[in-house]
Amino acid sequence: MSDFAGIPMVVDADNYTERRTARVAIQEIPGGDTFYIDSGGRGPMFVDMTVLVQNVSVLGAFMAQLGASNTLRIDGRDSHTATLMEVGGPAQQPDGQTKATLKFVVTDI
Amino acid sequence: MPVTIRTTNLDASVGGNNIANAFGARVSLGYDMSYGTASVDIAGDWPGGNFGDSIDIIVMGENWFSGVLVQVDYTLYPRQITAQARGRMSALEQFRPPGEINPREAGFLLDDLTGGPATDEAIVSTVLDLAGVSTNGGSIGGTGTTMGTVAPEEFAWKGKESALSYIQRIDQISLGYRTFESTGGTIFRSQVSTIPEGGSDFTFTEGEDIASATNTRSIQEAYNAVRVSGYDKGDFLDPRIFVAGGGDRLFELENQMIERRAESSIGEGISCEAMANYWLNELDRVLVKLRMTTPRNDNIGPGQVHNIVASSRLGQSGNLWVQRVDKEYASDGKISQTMTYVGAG
Repeated sequence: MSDFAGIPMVVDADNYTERRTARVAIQEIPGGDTFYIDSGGRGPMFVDMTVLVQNVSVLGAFMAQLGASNTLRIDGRDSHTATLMEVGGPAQQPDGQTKATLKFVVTDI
Repeated sequence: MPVTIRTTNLDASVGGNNIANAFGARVSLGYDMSYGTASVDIAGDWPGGNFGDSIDIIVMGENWFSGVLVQVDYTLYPRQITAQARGRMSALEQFRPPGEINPREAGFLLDDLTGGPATDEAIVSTVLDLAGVSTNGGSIGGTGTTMGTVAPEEFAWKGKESALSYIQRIDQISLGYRTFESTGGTIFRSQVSTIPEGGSDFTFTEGEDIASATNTRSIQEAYNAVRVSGYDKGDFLDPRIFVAGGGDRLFELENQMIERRAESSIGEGISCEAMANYWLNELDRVLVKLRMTTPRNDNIGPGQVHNIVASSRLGQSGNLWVQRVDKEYASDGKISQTMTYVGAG
């Protein structure tokens, strides 16, 4: 079972993305084929995922963690310190479970 | 395909302490500016330091700027602090002749300042020393002409006149010598004329290292005759007025600190003839104004001469003066320098 700040969730592997971009500026020189590429380092890693949680109370628990830094554990992957940036999701399912989309920024790599 | 790949870095410090969370910087230097200015963008908390502390900006080993912290700007969200700095010449703006001087009176005569008549470079050096402003490795050049023998009262540093204003007044009659701030906090006094002589400090070539540019060539500010009049007291035998050039587009200049009519006139001081010939050379030409941005991180400062090889797209091939340079280290690591050039065609 995966969790954030100890709040359990089931991660949908088909809707899980880790992304990280470099700070790179490209200056093209007109009249030739010369380029200057400046690398100013890497940006932080973001993790976006869709999860299934037990009920709307759990969703509320995630919302209470917005902006907080805590431990993000994903099954089969290293755990990281992350800050929860965004929580969203549709209405709950008939069985009471609900899907949620979570966006994190990882702060320990 | 020639590609230059750089891992850029910004080393900014305040009071000698590194600003670890600095992510951007801008620097402006020019001989048309009274002093240099700079700003440093800082993420998160203020790193410490006080007003008046030294601010130093080094980008990939090149010393872009050295000055003093004068202002701090805070932004609520996203949280950001911008440290504003000025070059050390800014101290001249608020420095006036010290002591209990009646502002309506003359202030410091050259007798008080330099011990008597002195060359323009000696006057400027003395004022810089008095204000506690070091050239920081720069140099103070000048015409070598002794001033203040014929019209000493005109060279008085007035009680309510700033040191910067007084230096600029001396520069106005110094045949193109200007006092300005360059990279790393250096202060120079160099002769700048429209047509650069000698070699160039750097060469920039179209298609190689010019990212963007515009160039204007114009005769709208051109004159083919110059009339200069100077100190007008007691000059009945040799009136201090001189006309250079025989054209009908006449440029007029009057300055009471010009103490002689011609170079052959007796006495010492700048002559109307020397000023007229200097200005005629400056004004009887096609004026070239070129503005160009380069990704290069060379040590570029005002008063340098650059060879711009861009005849195809910019209509320019030859040497131009760097009047001003604006340097930027962007948050994505991009380095750019934008120069404003002047020259003659």
